[in-house]
Amino acid sequence: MSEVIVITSGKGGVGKTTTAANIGTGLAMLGKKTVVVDTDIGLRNLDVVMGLENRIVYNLVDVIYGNCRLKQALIRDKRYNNLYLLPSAQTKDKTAVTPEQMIKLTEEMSSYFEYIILDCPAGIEQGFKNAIAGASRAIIVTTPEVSAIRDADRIIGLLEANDVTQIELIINRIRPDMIQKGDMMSVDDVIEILAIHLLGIIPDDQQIVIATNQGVPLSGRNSPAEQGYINICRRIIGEEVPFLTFDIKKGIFRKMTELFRS
Amino acid sequence: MLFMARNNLAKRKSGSVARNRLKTILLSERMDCSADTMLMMKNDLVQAMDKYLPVDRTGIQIQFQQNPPMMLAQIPILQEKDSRKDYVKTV
Repeated sequence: MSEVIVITSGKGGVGKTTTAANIGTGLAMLGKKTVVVDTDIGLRNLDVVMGLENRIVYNLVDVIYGNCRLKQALIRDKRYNNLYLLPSAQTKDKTAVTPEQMIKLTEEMSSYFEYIILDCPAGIEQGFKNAIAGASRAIIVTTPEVSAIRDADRIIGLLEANDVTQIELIINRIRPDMIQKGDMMSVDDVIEILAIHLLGIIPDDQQIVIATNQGVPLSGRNSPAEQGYINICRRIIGEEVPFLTFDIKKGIFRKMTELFRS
Repeated sequence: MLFMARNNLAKRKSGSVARNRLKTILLSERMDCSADTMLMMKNDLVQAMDKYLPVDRTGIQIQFQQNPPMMLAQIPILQEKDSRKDYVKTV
Protein backbone atom coordinates (compact mmCIF):
# COMPACT_ATOMS: atom_id res chain seq x y z
CA MET A 1 0.00 0.00 0.00
CA SER A 2 1.62 3.23 -1.06
CA GLU A 3 0.78 6.82 -0.39
CA VAL A 4 0.92 9.48 -3.09
CA ILE A 5 1.57 12.91 -1.56
CA VAL A 6 1.70 16.12 -3.59
CA ILE A 7 3.70 19.07 -2.25
CA THR A 8 2.05 22.25 -3.47
CA SER A 9 1.66 25.94 -2.61
CA GLY A 10 0.28 28.05 -5.44
CA LYS A 11 2.86 30.77 -4.95
CA GLY A 12 6.41 30.17 -6.13
CA GLY A 13 9.48 30.45 -3.96
CA VAL A 14 7.97 29.37 -0.66
CA GLY A 15 10.00 26.15 -0.44
CA LYS A 16 8.08 23.38 -2.23
CA THR A 17 11.12 21.80 -3.83
CA THR A 18 13.22 22.06 -0.67
CA THR A 19 10.34 20.54 1.28
CA ALA A 20 9.93 17.70 -1.23
CA ALA A 21 13.66 16.93 -1.07
CA ASN A 22 13.77 17.03 2.73
CA ILE A 23 10.60 15.00 3.23
CA GLY A 24 11.77 12.43 0.68
CA THR A 25 15.14 12.15 2.40
CA GLY A 26 13.55 12.07 5.86
CA LEU A 27 11.16 9.26 4.93
CA ALA A 28 14.08 7.29 3.50
CA MET A 29 16.02 7.86 6.74
CA LEU A 30 13.05 6.40 8.59
CA GLY A 31 13.38 3.28 6.44
CA LYS A 32 10.56 3.90 3.98
CA LYS A 33 11.05 3.13 0.31
CA THR A 34 10.43 6.52 -1.25
CA VAL A 35 10.47 8.20 -4.65
CA VAL A 36 10.48 11.95 -5.17
CA VAL A 37 9.04 13.05 -8.51
CA ASP A 38 9.75 16.42 -10.12
CA THR A 39 6.54 17.29 -11.97
CA ASP A 40 7.73 20.77 -13.00
CA ILE A 41 8.25 20.03 -16.69
CA GLY A 42 10.48 22.61 -18.34
CA LEU A 43 11.83 23.98 -15.04
CA ARG A 44 13.73 21.08 -13.54
CA ASN A 45 14.96 21.80 -9.99
CA LEU A 46 14.54 18.90 -7.61
CA ASP A 47 17.58 17.15 -9.10
CA VAL A 48 19.95 19.95 -8.06
CA VAL A 49 18.48 20.23 -4.57
CA MET A 50 18.98 16.47 -4.17
CA GLY A 51 22.48 16.70 -5.70
CA LEU A 52 21.67 14.17 -8.44
CA GLU A 53 21.83 16.42 -11.50
CA ASN A 54 24.81 14.60 -13.05
CA ARG A 55 23.12 11.23 -13.10
CA ILE A 56 20.08 12.02 -15.23
CA VAL A 57 19.71 9.90 -18.35
CA TYR A 58 15.95 9.63 -18.85
CA ASN A 59 13.13 11.68 -17.35
CA LEU A 60 9.43 11.67 -16.50
CA VAL A 61 8.34 12.56 -20.06
CA ASP A 62 10.49 9.72 -21.47
CA VAL A 63 8.70 7.26 -19.18
CA ILE A 64 5.26 8.57 -20.12
CA TYR A 65 6.05 8.53 -23.85
CA GLY A 66 7.47 5.02 -23.59
CA ASN A 67 11.02 6.02 -24.59
CA CYS A 68 12.30 4.04 -21.61
CA ARG A 69 11.09 1.86 -18.75
CA LEU A 70 10.34 3.42 -15.35
CA LYS A 71 13.34 1.71 -13.74
CA GLN A 72 15.69 3.19 -16.31
CA ALA A 73 14.62 6.74 -15.46
CA LEU A 74 14.72 6.38 -11.67
CA ILE A 75 17.92 7.68 -10.06
CA ARG A 76 19.03 6.16 -6.78
CA ASP A 77 20.12 8.64 -4.08
CA LYS A 78 23.79 8.91 -3.15
CA ARG A 79 23.29 8.20 0.55
CA TYR A 80 20.05 6.28 0.95
CA ASN A 81 19.52 3.21 -1.20
CA ASN A 82 15.76 3.24 -0.54
CA LEU A 83 15.39 6.77 -1.99
CA TYR A 84 14.86 7.48 -5.69
CA LEU A 85 14.34 10.53 -7.87
CA LEU A 86 12.28 10.69 -11.05
CA PRO A 87 13.56 13.88 -12.71
CA SER A 88 11.51 16.19 -14.87
CA ALA A 89 12.21 17.00 -18.52
CA GLN A 90 14.00 20.24 -19.24
CA THR A 91 13.24 20.47 -22.97
CA LYS A 92 9.44 19.99 -22.97
CA ASP A 93 6.70 22.09 -21.37
CA LYS A 94 3.71 21.39 -19.15
CA THR A 95 1.41 20.49 -22.03
CA ALA A 96 3.59 17.46 -22.86
CA VAL A 97 1.75 15.45 -20.18
CA THR A 98 -1.93 14.95 -19.30
CA PRO A 99 -3.49 14.24 -15.89
CA GLU A 100 -4.52 10.77 -17.10
CA GLN A 101 -0.91 9.94 -17.95
CA MET A 102 0.20 11.12 -14.51
CA ILE A 103 -2.39 8.90 -12.82
CA LYS A 104 -1.10 5.92 -14.82
CA LEU A 105 2.49 6.78 -13.84
CA THR A 106 1.74 7.06 -10.11
CA GLU A 107 -0.17 3.79 -10.26
CA GLU A 108 2.82 2.07 -11.79
CA MET A 109 5.16 3.52 -9.15
CA SER A 110 2.89 2.56 -6.27
CA SER A 111 3.79 -1.09 -6.69
CA TYR A 112 7.46 -0.32 -5.98
CA PHE A 113 7.31 2.42 -3.34
CA GLU A 114 5.75 3.09 0.05
CA TYR A 115 5.76 6.85 -0.42
CA ILE A 116 5.53 8.80 -3.68
CA ILE A 117 6.31 12.50 -3.16
CA LEU A 118 5.24 14.74 -6.05
CA ASP A 119 6.91 18.16 -6.25
CA CYS A 120 4.28 20.40 -7.85
CA PRO A 121 5.11 23.47 -9.97
CA ALA A 122 3.94 26.91 -8.88
CA GLY A 123 0.68 28.18 -10.32
CA ILE A 124 -2.72 26.62 -10.88
CA GLU A 125 -2.47 25.73 -14.55
CA GLN A 126 -1.76 22.50 -16.42
CA GLY A 127 1.34 21.62 -14.35
CA PHE A 128 -0.64 21.84 -11.11
CA LYS A 129 -3.48 19.77 -12.56
CA ASN A 130 -1.00 17.12 -13.67
CA ALA A 131 0.69 17.00 -10.28
CA ILE A 132 -2.47 16.63 -8.20
CA ALA A 133 -4.15 14.14 -10.55
CA GLY A 134 -2.57 11.05 -9.04
CA ALA A 135 -2.35 12.28 -5.43
CA SER A 136 -4.47 11.12 -2.52
CA ARG A 137 -2.89 13.43 0.01
CA ALA A 138 -1.61 17.00 -0.25
CA ILE A 139 0.88 19.01 1.76
CA ILE A 140 0.56 22.75 1.33
CA VAL A 141 3.67 24.80 1.94
CA THR A 142 3.24 28.42 2.90
CA THR A 143 5.21 31.18 4.56
CA PRO A 144 3.67 33.61 7.07
CA GLU A 145 3.15 36.24 4.37
CA VAL A 146 -0.04 37.69 2.95
CA SER A 147 0.65 36.67 -0.66
CA ALA A 148 1.64 33.07 0.13
CA ILE A 149 -1.34 32.50 2.42
CA ARG A 150 -3.78 33.95 -0.06
CA ASP A 151 -2.48 31.56 -2.74
CA ALA A 152 -2.54 28.66 -0.28
CA ASP A 153 -6.23 29.34 0.39
CA ARG A 154 -6.97 29.21 -3.33
CA ILE A 155 -5.05 25.94 -3.65
CA ILE A 156 -7.01 24.39 -0.77
CA GLY A 157 -10.23 25.18 -2.63
CA LEU A 158 -8.92 23.67 -5.87
CA LEU A 159 -7.70 20.52 -4.11
CA GLU A 160 -11.07 20.02 -2.43
CA ALA A 161 -12.82 20.52 -5.76
CA ASN A 162 -10.57 17.80 -7.22
CA ASP A 163 -11.35 15.32 -4.43
CA VAL A 164 -8.01 15.48 -2.64
CA THR A 165 -9.42 15.15 0.85
CA GLN A 166 -6.40 14.85 3.11
CA ILE A 167 -4.83 18.30 3.07
CA GLU A 168 -2.19 19.34 5.57
CA LEU A 169 -0.15 22.50 6.10
CA ILE A 170 3.54 23.25 6.55
CA ILE A 171 4.40 26.78 7.60
CA ASN A 172 7.89 27.52 6.33
CA ARG A 173 10.44 30.21 7.22
CA ILE A 174 9.03 31.07 10.62
CA ARG A 175 10.95 33.84 12.39
CA PRO A 176 10.19 33.45 16.12
CA ASP A 177 11.89 36.76 16.93
CA MET A 178 9.63 38.64 14.50
CA ILE A 179 6.51 36.83 15.74
CA GLN A 180 7.38 37.84 19.28
CA LYS A 181 7.70 41.46 18.21
CA GLY A 182 4.32 41.22 16.49
CA ASP A 183 5.80 41.77 13.05
CA MET A 184 4.99 38.34 11.64
CA MET A 185 1.79 36.32 11.72
CA SER A 186 2.03 33.53 14.28
CA VAL A 187 1.46 29.84 13.58
CA ASP A 188 -1.95 30.13 15.28
CA ASP A 189 -2.89 33.10 13.09
CA VAL A 190 -2.12 31.15 9.91
CA ILE A 191 -4.01 28.06 11.05
CA GLU A 192 -7.01 30.16 12.04
CA ILE A 193 -7.08 31.84 8.63
CA LEU A 194 -6.59 28.72 6.50
CA ALA A 195 -8.51 26.35 8.81
CA ILE A 196 -6.60 23.18 7.90
CA HIS A 197 -4.60 20.63 9.84
CA LEU A 198 -1.05 21.64 10.72
CA LEU A 199 1.59 19.08 9.74
CA GLY A 200 4.62 21.04 10.85
CA ILE A 201 6.54 24.27 11.19
CA ILE A 202 9.96 25.04 9.74
CA PRO A 203 11.95 27.93 11.16
CA ASP A 204 13.98 30.16 8.88
CA ASP A 205 17.39 28.52 8.94
CA GLN A 206 20.69 29.15 7.14
CA GLN A 207 21.45 25.45 7.23
CA ILE A 208 18.79 24.84 4.56
CA VAL A 209 20.64 27.20 2.20
CA ILE A 210 23.91 25.42 2.94
CA ALA A 211 22.37 21.97 2.41
CA THR A 212 20.85 23.12 -0.89
CA ASN A 213 24.18 24.61 -2.00
CA GLN A 214 25.80 21.25 -1.36
CA GLY A 215 22.95 19.23 -2.83
CA VAL A 216 22.68 17.18 0.34
CA PRO A 217 19.28 17.52 2.10
CA LEU A 218 19.20 16.87 5.86
CA SER A 219 22.98 17.09 6.12
CA GLY A 220 23.22 19.64 8.92
CA ARG A 221 22.97 17.31 11.92
CA ASN A 222 19.81 18.55 13.53
CA SER A 223 19.66 22.22 12.71
CA PRO A 224 16.23 23.61 13.73
CA ALA A 225 14.78 23.42 10.20
CA GLU A 226 16.07 19.90 9.67
CA GLN A 227 14.63 18.83 13.00
CA GLY A 228 11.35 20.33 11.79
CA TYR A 229 11.47 18.22 8.61
CA ILE A 230 12.29 15.03 10.49
CA ASN A 231 9.35 15.68 12.84
CA ILE A 232 7.11 16.18 9.79
CA CYS A 233 8.26 12.85 8.33
CA ARG A 234 7.48 11.10 11.61
CA ARG A 235 3.99 12.60 11.57
CA ILE A 236 3.53 11.51 7.94
CA ILE A 237 4.18 7.89 8.89
CA GLY A 238 1.71 8.21 11.75
CA GLU A 239 3.83 8.99 14.82
CA GLU A 240 2.75 11.65 17.26
CA VAL A 241 5.46 14.24 17.62
CA PRO A 242 5.11 17.53 19.53
CA PHE A 243 5.60 20.75 17.57
CA LEU A 244 8.86 22.65 17.77
CA THR A 245 9.08 25.45 20.32
CA PHE A 246 11.53 28.27 20.09
CA ASP A 247 13.56 29.91 22.81
CA ILE A 248 13.99 33.55 22.08
CA LYS A 249 16.65 35.58 23.74
CA LYS A 250 14.80 38.19 25.72
CA GLY A 251 16.01 41.68 26.36
CA ILE A 252 16.03 43.08 29.86
CA PHE A 253 13.05 45.35 29.14
CA ARG A 254 10.85 42.47 27.98
CA LYS A 255 11.88 40.39 30.97
CA MET A 256 10.90 43.24 33.29
CA THR A 257 7.52 43.84 31.66
CA GLU A 258 6.70 40.15 31.79
CA LEU A 259 7.64 40.12 35.45
CA PHE A 260 5.22 42.98 36.10
CA ARG A 261 2.44 41.42 34.05
CA SER A 262 2.61 38.12 35.93
CA MET B 1 -2.05 52.50 31.99
CA LEU B 2 1.39 52.09 30.50
CA PHE B 3 0.70 48.43 29.74
CA MET B 4 -2.66 49.24 28.20
CA ALA B 5 -0.96 51.73 25.92
CA ARG B 6 1.55 49.08 24.96
CA ASN B 7 -1.25 46.66 24.16
CA ASN B 8 -2.96 49.17 21.93
CA LEU B 9 0.28 49.76 20.14
CA ALA B 10 0.74 46.02 19.66
CA LYS B 11 -2.65 45.82 17.96
CA ARG B 12 -1.33 47.95 15.15
CA LYS B 13 1.78 45.80 14.63
CA SER B 14 2.31 44.63 11.08
CA GLY B 15 1.60 40.99 11.96
CA SER B 16 -1.96 41.75 13.01
CA VAL B 17 -2.40 44.17 10.11
CA ALA B 18 -1.48 41.27 7.79
CA ARG B 19 -3.90 38.93 9.57
CA ASN B 20 -6.81 41.34 9.30
CA ARG B 21 -6.13 42.15 5.66
CA LEU B 22 -5.94 38.46 4.82
CA LYS B 23 -9.19 37.69 6.60
CA THR B 24 -10.99 40.31 4.53
CA ILE B 25 -9.35 39.27 1.25
CA LEU B 26 -10.00 35.56 1.73
CA LEU B 27 -13.58 35.91 2.82
CA SER B 28 -14.45 38.10 -0.16
CA GLU B 29 -12.61 35.64 -2.43
CA ARG B 30 -14.27 32.58 -0.94
CA MET B 31 -17.69 34.18 -1.36
CA ASP B 32 -16.72 35.29 -4.84
CA CYS B 33 -17.63 38.81 -3.85
CA SER B 34 -15.33 41.34 -5.54
CA ALA B 35 -14.27 44.72 -4.21
CA ASP B 36 -16.77 46.35 -6.59
CA THR B 37 -19.62 44.21 -5.31
CA MET B 38 -18.60 45.07 -1.76
CA LEU B 39 -18.72 48.77 -2.63
CA MET B 40 -22.18 48.39 -4.18
CA MET B 41 -23.36 46.49 -1.12
CA LYS B 42 -21.94 49.18 1.13
CA ASN B 43 -23.72 51.92 -0.81
CA ASP B 44 -27.03 50.05 -0.72
CA LEU B 45 -26.69 49.51 3.01
CA VAL B 46 -25.99 53.18 3.61
CA GLN B 47 -28.92 54.28 1.45
CA ALA B 48 -31.26 51.97 3.35
CA MET B 49 -30.01 53.29 6.69
CA ASP B 50 -30.10 56.86 5.47
CA LYS B 51 -33.84 56.70 4.90
CA TYR B 52 -34.36 56.49 8.65
CA LEU B 53 -31.25 57.92 10.32
CA PRO B 54 -28.62 60.54 9.44
CA VAL B 55 -25.51 58.50 8.57
CA ASP B 56 -21.89 59.64 8.74
CA ARG B 57 -20.72 58.40 5.34
CA THR B 58 -17.05 59.09 6.02
CA GLY B 59 -16.78 56.75 9.01
CA ILE B 60 -18.23 53.54 7.55
CA GLN B 61 -16.26 50.37 8.13
CA ILE B 62 -17.16 46.97 6.79
CA GLN B 63 -15.34 43.86 7.99
CA PHE B 64 -15.72 40.17 7.44
CA GLN B 65 -15.23 37.54 10.07
CA GLN B 66 -14.56 33.86 9.46
CA ASN B 67 -15.81 31.80 12.37
CA PRO B 68 -18.78 31.98 12.26
CA PRO B 69 -18.95 33.67 8.83
CA MET B 70 -20.27 37.16 9.49
CA MET B 71 -20.25 40.61 7.99
CA LEU B 72 -19.71 43.40 10.48
CA ALA B 73 -20.76 46.84 9.33
CA GLN B 74 -19.96 49.85 11.44
CA ILE B 75 -22.12 52.74 10.31
CA PRO B 76 -21.79 55.81 12.53
CA ILE B 77 -24.92 57.91 12.97
CA LEU B 78 -24.72 61.67 13.11
CA GLN B 79 -26.05 62.80 16.47
CA GLU B 80 -27.11 66.38 15.89
CA LYS B 81 -29.88 66.50 18.40
CA ASP B 82 -30.87 64.42 21.40
CA SER B 83 -34.28 62.88 20.76
CA ARG B 84 -34.84 62.34 24.50
CA LYS B 85 -35.19 66.09 24.86
CA ASP B 86 -37.82 66.11 22.11
CA TYR B 87 -39.60 63.36 23.94
CA VAL B 88 -39.61 65.36 27.17
CA LYS B 89 -40.93 68.40 25.33
CA THR B 90 -43.79 66.58 23.62
CA VAL B 91 -44.81 64.92 26.89
